[in-house]
Amino acid sequence: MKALFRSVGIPILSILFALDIWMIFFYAPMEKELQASQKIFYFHVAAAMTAFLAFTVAFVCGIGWYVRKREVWDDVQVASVEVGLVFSAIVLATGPIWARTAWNTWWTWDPRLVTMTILFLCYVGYLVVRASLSGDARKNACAAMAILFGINIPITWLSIQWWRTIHPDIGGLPGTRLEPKMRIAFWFSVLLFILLFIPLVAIRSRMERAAKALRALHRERLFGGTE
Amino acid sequence: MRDLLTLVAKDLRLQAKTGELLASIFIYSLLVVLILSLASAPVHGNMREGIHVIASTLWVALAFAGVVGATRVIEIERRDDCLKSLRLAGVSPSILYLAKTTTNAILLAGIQFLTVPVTFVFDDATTFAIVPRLAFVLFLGIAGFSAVGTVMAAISTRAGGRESLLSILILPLLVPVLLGGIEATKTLLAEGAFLNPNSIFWLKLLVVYDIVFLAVASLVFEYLIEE
Repeated sequence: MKALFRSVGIPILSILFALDIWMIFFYAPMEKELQASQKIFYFHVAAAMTAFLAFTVAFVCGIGWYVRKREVWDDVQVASVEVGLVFSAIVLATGPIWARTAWNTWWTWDPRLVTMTILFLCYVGYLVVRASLSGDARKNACAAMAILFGINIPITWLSIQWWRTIHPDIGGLPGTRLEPKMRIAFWFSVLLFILLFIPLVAIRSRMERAAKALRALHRERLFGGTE
Repeated sequence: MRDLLTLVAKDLRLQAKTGELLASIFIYSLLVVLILSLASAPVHGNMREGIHVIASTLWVALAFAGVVGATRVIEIERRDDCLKSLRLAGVSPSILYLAKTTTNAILLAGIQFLTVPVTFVFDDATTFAIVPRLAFVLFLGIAGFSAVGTVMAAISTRAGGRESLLSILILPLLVPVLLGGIEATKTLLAEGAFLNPNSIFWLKLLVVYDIVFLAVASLVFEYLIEE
């Protein structure tokens, strides 16, 4: 699969990303007020949606692990959490850059910003715990965290929204009120990010499986296969 | 139900005998209250700001006390394989979880019983008539803290971390409780009752949060105490 990804996946993704950048900068029209700074939106929102998708996958994997104790649930779970963290880092990095030009401030206590930050911090905690445990205890603890954090996200989202009601209304699904060409570029970006997310998770979960197999081999050699 | 009561009684007797835990957490939250009141001293005299300070001081003190309390209550059982013995004695994991949560809640309630008057004195609260209603809000908050604290402490103590690891895990999870608690307390201090729909809404959020996390955590707790 790795070879397939190298020979087919990377070239295709590269071409698609080049196309995406062309669409963002040349195909989609320039925003009237925000000018070029609005272009970051195509990356920012796409990364945010992918991050939410990643943590949802981790949540489902958490349940999956408790229902059917199969290793694959744990592998995919850690993979999605890590990839999700990367995408949330993109969101948190691009957000303030845009906010500085659009709102004239790096940071504001908008529900979206706070939720994303909390989300990020939760899953950093997840990785800290994961690093200090091993074996079944680790899988159980991680599944529990993936589930509890997963439930917490919508609650946090709503509570912060109600706490700060001043946030700009985006009116339903993101992108529905965009100019048609912008909308096409936007959804293309989103799909592309998700398309990038899938092989990343697949590769990372294979790495996790390989790491586990390696550890098992080590143990076998140390204890003469009596385990 | 009898198991639950027996376990709670056991834990409380244990705490009552030494008194060390209660005393140390109490001093700790007292210091938190003192420091936060000191840090915001300049706003005293301003009614609206004053209310804000009291509400946030109370809840931050509760959050910190909750982190310390939850760790200790679980740690006792980790020592000398007590958890295993309890499981061998035929206690169901959900009952064990509920018992630990109850003990935690009772301890936190005890701490609040001592901390609230001190906060009122330090921060110059005008009325004591709201105390029953305040107790109700605090009860909802304490339930949330204990529900999340107990399950996360089971993870953090297993990972060999103590309060620092637990705070990484639960403080982001507790954002809805903190927001809800602070907002409800603020309206209570300003109006003396839960009259406006805003505070009713926050109370509902707290109730929903408590129920959801108690339910989910009691389901996953079983896997977290397996050795």
